Amino acid sequence: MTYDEFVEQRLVALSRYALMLTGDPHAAEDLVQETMVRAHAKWRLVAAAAAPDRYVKAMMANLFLDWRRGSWVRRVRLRPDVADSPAPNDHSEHSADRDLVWQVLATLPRQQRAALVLRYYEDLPDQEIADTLRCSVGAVRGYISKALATLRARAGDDLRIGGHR
Amino acid sequence: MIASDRTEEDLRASFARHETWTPDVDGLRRGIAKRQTVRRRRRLVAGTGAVALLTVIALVAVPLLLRVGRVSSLPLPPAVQPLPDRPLNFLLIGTDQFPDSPWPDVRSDTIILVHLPADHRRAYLISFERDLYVGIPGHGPNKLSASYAFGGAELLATVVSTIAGVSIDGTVVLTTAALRDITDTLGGVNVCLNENVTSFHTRVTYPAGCGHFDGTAAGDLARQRHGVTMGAFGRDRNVQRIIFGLFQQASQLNVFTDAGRVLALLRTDGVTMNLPGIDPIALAAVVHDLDPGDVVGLTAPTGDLIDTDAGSSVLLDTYIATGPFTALRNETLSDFAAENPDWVVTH
Repeated sequence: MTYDEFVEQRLVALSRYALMLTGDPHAAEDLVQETMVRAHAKWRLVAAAAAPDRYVKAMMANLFLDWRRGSWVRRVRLRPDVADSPAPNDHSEHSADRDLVWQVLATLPRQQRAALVLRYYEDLPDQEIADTLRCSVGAVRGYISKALATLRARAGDDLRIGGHR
Repeated sequence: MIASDRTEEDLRASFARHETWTPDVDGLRRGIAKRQTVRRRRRLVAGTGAVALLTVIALVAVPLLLRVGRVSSLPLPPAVQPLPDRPLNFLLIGTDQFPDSPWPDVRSDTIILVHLPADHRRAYLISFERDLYVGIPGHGPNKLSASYAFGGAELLATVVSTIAGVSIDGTVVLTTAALRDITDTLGGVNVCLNENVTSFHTRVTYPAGCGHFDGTAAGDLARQRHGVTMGAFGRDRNVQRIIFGLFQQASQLNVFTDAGRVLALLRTDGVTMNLPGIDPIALAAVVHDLDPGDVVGLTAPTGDLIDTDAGSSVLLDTYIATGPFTALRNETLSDFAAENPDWVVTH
C-alpha cells in the first residue's frame, strides 16, 4: 500500500480516533498531522508491518501520551488559539456541551483516557491495548477500572443530564 | 453492577455523539503537507542544499556530498529490511589511541552491550569493564580489552558472548575522534554529572550538574577515570551518560527517521560498523520510537581489583554472579533494574 492510498482510506477514521483521544478538534488536527508526517518519514517500515493501520494508531496513541516531550506539542503551544492544558477542553466553537461524560473524560489522566478510547471506541481486546500503550494487561485493567469509577462517581446515573444540543 | 453497565453504554454513546466534531479531512491534508514542507525546509537549512531533495542520488555519490559537521538529507534508500523479530544484541566499542605512544596501540576503552528485547520497545545498555579478567580463546587469560587488541571487534564479541551467554548480532566501533565529530554534528550533547570531573589530559574541570558539551569536551570526559570516583566504573557511567545524551539530542532533531542523516552519521570517519543482516535504517527507526524512559543503562556498581600478570584486573566471577546476565538471557532485565538500583545509571 502506498502512503497516499493509506491516507485516502484511513484519514477519516484516524481523525476520529485522534478526536476521541484528545477531546478537542484543534488538538486532534495537530495529533493527526504530526502522526502522519512521522508515518510518512518511515513509510516503508509502516507498510511492511502486519497491520499498518494498527501501527499508525499505536504511533498516534503514544504521541498523545508523550505530549509533554514530543516536538508536536511545541507546535500546539505556539498556536495562540489552542488551550495550553494537558487535556484540551476548548469548546468555544460549540454550543455549551451538556455531555457530562465528555467533560469528565477531559479530566482523566492521559493513560486512563487512552485506555478507555481503545476499549470503548476502538473495541480492542485488552492484550492489544496493552501492546499499544506499552504496558501490561494488568495495568490496562487498572486504568480502565479507575477511569470507570471516576465516571460513575461524577457522571453516574442520577447526575446524568443526557442527550446533547 | 447495572450502574457500571450504564456507564460503559454512556461512554460509548458519548464517543459516538462527538464524531461530528471530527476535524475536516481536506484541512488535515493541507496541514500535513504544510508540516512536511516545514520539516524539509528545516533540513535544507542544516544540509548542503536542495539538490539532495530533488534528485535521486546513487549511493555511490554519497561520500562526495558528505562533510563531517554538515549533514545532507537524502531520500529513503530502496526497500528497508525490517529487523529480525527477536531480541537483538549489539556491541558498542569505544577505542582510544595514545597520541604519545610510539606504538600504534589501539585499546578498546568502552565496551557496551546494547540489548533490545524482542518487542524492540526498550534498550538496555550494559557496560563491560575493560579490565575484566577473562579467558581469551587462543591467548589465555587477560583483560577483556586485550581481546580487541588481539583479534579486533570479532574476538571481543566472541568473548563477551561467552560471558553474557547471548549471541552478538553486530558491532559498532567508534574512535574518540568519531565521538567528537558526531557530537559536533549533532550540535553538542547535554550530560548530567553527579560530581566534578577534572580531566587528567586537559586539566579542564567539568562541574557537577547538567551541562552542554561540545565534541572536544565529550571526548575528553569519555576518557576520564583518574578524576572520577570508582575510577573505571565511574567512567563507564559517564560514557553511558554521554551516549544517552547523544540519543536524546538526535531524537529531538528527528535524526532517526531521516535515512540520509543516519547514513551520514554512520559514515563519519572513525565509525566501523559490522551489522550482518541488520538494516541500520530499520534500527534507527526503532531507536526513534524509544522514549528517554525506555533507555536503561546498567553498570557494575563496584568491582574488586586483583593483581594478575595482566596487571590490575577485575574478578569475572563476581561480575557474573551479581550481574544482569541471567536477566539478559531470560528477558527479565526490567525486573533486574528494579531490584538492583545501584546498577542503574542515573542520567
